[in-house]
Amino acid sequence: MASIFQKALMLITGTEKPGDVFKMPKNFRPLKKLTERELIQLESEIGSKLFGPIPAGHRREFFNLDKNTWIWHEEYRGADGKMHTSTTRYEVQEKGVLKAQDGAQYSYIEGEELQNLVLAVQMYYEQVMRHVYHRDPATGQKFSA
Amino acid sequence: MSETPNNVYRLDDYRQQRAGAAEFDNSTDVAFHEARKDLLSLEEARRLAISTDMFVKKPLETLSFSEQAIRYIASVSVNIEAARIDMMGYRNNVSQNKSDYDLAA
Repeated sequence: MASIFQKALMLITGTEKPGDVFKMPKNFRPLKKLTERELIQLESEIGSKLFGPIPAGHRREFFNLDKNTWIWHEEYRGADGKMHTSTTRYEVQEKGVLKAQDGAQYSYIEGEELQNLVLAVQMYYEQVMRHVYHRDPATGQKFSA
Repeated sequence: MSETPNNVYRLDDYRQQRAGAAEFDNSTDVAFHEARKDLLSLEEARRLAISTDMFVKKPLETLSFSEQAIRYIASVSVNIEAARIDMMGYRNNVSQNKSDYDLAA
């Protein structure tokens, strides 16, 4: 569990400057080998925009970490000048989708919240498959060049 | 996610834009069943359904909304991971081929 959280944190914070972490790699080339982290960053570029414009001063990430885990991250500077961050992990289990906020406050989501997560995942999947992996989300087949 | 401030969370707008979307109501399972028709058709779920030991294999029609949602999210997650692995494998192959070419040259 700790390793998943660490992996998520590394993906969120990374080693680059905070503002550059989730942007398209500057030297992006189609045939350049991309790491899993870079692919997830590209996915998160899409995921962060699924919920409308990001308010000035806010940073948002939403991405699929692995086959069991989805991450929602919000970061903003409050009126008090302090940086506020919130990381929510959604863990897909047989019993349900477990939500863990900031590593604590575990609860299974249900009702409208589960409905919203399904919608977010659906939009994420459709756009990521098309724009990152160039696959038809309906069939999983690659688009012909 | 329901705790996210309304000004940054626009899924409600998205739902209203969907043609023929059922009214959403979190008060009853019946409402979820209706909403599900728009969001997660059985055919779509069947298409995305995966063989996994994570879930008890039950006829799809007998699954509750919650079970279908879990299965859908799990299926999508697996598909994304597969695409990711394929992409990395492809890149690795390209890199490997180039190396082989360079060695041959």
